[in-house]
Amino acid sequence: MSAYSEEPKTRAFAAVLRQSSPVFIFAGIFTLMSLASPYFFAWNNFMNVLRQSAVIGILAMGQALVIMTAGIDLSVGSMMTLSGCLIATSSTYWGIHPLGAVLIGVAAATLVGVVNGFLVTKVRLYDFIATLGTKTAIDGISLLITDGLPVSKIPPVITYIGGKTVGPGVPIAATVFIAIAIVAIIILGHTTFGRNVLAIGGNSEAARVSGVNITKTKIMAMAFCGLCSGIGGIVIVGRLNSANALMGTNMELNSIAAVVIGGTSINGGQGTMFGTIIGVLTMGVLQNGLELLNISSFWQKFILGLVIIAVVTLDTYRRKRMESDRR
Amino acid sequence: MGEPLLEMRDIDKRFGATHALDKVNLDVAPGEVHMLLGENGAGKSTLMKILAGSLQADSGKIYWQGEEVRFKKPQDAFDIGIGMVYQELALIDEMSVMENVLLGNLPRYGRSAFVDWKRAEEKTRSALREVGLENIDPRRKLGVFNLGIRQLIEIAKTLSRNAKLLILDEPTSALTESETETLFGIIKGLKAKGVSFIFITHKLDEAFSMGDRATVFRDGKKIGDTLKMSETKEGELINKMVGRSITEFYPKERNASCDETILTVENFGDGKYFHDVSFDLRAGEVLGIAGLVGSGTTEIAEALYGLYRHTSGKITYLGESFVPSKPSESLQKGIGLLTKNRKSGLLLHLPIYSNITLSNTRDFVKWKIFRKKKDEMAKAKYYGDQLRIATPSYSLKSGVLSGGNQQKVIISKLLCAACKLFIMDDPTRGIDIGAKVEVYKLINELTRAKCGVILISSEMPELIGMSDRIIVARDGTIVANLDIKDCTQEIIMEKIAGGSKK
Repeated sequence: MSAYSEEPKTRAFAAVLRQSSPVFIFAGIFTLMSLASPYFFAWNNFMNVLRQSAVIGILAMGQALVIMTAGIDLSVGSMMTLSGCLIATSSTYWGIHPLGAVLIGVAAATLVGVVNGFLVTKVRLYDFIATLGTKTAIDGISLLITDGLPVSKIPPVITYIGGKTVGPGVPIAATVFIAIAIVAIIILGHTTFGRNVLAIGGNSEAARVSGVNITKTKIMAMAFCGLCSGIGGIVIVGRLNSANALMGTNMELNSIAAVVIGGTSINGGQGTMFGTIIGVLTMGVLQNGLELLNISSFWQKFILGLVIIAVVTLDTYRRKRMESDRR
Repeated sequence: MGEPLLEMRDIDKRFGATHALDKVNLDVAPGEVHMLLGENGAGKSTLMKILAGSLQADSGKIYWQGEEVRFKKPQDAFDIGIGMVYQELALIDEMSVMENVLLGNLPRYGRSAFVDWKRAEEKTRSALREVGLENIDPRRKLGVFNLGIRQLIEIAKTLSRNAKLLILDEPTSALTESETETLFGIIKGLKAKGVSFIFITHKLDEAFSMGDRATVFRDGKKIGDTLKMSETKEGELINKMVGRSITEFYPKERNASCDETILTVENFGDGKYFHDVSFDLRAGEVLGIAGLVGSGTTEIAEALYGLYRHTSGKITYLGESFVPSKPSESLQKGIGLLTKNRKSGLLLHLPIYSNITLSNTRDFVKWKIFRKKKDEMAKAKYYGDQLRIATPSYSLKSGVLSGGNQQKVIISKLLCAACKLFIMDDPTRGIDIGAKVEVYKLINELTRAKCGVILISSEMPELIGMSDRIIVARDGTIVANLDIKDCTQEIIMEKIAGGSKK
């Protein structure tokens, strides 16, 4: 039996380009910024990018896993905020040891993730609606906890995570991001859970009749997303040296943008953590470069929007090409 | 016969008001191929889903090698050795062959969460070897392989879990002849090793060539005793399946011979799938188009309807020049297409009556904006009843209907849109014998109403039985135009394969 077609060698390069378009887009923007600004191509600036990208990167790891199950989580920013507000308030006002405070914050966010998973699988709500609901509810909780006011006087242990560096100027926040990224890569690529995530996203009925436990896998993915958000809460409170109930605004959308720019299909079943990291860095480099070029944040938003549209257009085109190749 | 491998006793299942399975019994012996026959909606697939653990019976017992078993989820059935190959294959295009074969069953290091990729590859290779696919790289994406190979990969998947009983749900419905032969060879090989099969099919020749025994279902009941294929005649089987004897399988009737040409196609081409296609069609005539998969017949049909672009050619329809560009325009002019894929011709989530009136909504509005539901319902009933759509109510969602009835809804829709020209791309694909005959009768009625019908079909007897003329497509163009009087399967096959030209 050899009734399948081998890809011709001449098209191998085109195939690589199509497979890894996120990398090329990143490289393009990176090169452009290096040429446009004399301050861009410098170790310290790269570390800056990493510091700025750390929080969104941590959230995007969780978001990516959920999107790969063909789901979506609109509550990541709010789970992060809840975690951050709990950490700040409990350590500053309730006299809880910083370590305990961190545990409370992260546990709360993870619990919200489990609730999301429960609502999506057991109550059978659309994930869009379910997470919109939990998002709104926990936004309220964050406001209640902080009384709507910023909480400052964050314990030094936490500001250390957010602000300090190790070794050759590597921000600790970035090391947290890298650590979580490594864990996410391993989970997705080398655990049955990770493979089941992609199977469910690719064809949930096929996965079901093949014995994949869909309920468990989806709840775990959303719980992981909550866990990431909770950890993101530690980092952002440390970086801001304060916490407020609005610090997560738009984070859910930025995390989705990073995942999509990284080449993960919004329909689920396809994508890599490496791609997501590239997506995060693409957004980081773009923002940093535009900042260095003194382009106003209003224009930055506009440009970021165009990049998202361009990337998804390219990706859709790529998919269509691959499908027609098959035909 | 020794102890049966599997026994299902008094299996009962209801879906709402429908009694899908009425105290059904079935037994399968070790190493046998057991055919399940019956019309669509007879309950075969429901019974098999219960056996595979993806549905639960309301009552009844299942015995496996003499012991009672209960399946709460698909995994339970896999665990004791029952594997099901679904009609719509349960595979994931974007994943590798290996992960598809081991879907839901990836080996791990001990009890850890980590995948043992090395063992996974070994398991995959040995499973692929059993179905004759040892040359396939387990790491390639599944999506690059054609349907025949995917079907075998699906079988490898069940074998990798040491299945002793394989359930095949219409495995050949989408396969080419040579793919079917490969599949049958592999089934025979596995059978020799003691694997049992339950094989659902509509094709009687398959039942006779592959089956040891057969059980017939009708309306959720088992009809008569299980039959030994070697002692059974075809007529007997058909009688059991449809509950009445089909005296004439292709009830072709042509009353008025009409010479008015309604469609002329000249040098039609799209620059890719077909070229230089020319033919004409008279009112009240059925023009059959024969051709292998990939010979361009589907593309020609879609291009005529304006669903797919064309680049050259001249079309005259009802005496006027006609350039197909979009379906809405074609419909308005009275040209209707029954697509190959039934699901793309129906809105499954909408009621039957809305589907029937869908292409002609402008007749059912008041003051140009308000919908007149009562009129829609009345008209839908009018056409639906003519075609005898079997449904308790036209307000039901069309998705609940059986395949044959869905096809009737689509034809009703085209009738309602006052179509004069019907392009039918494999209209009886995947529907049962009884429903097929209904479709044939419908074609008769269309010709009586002086409509023209273009019938594309992969089934040779159907083409010969229903057409007035047959044109043969090969490599995207028409290679023969035959009057039905001169047609035999051999002649058409020869033209299709291109033998006589050399």
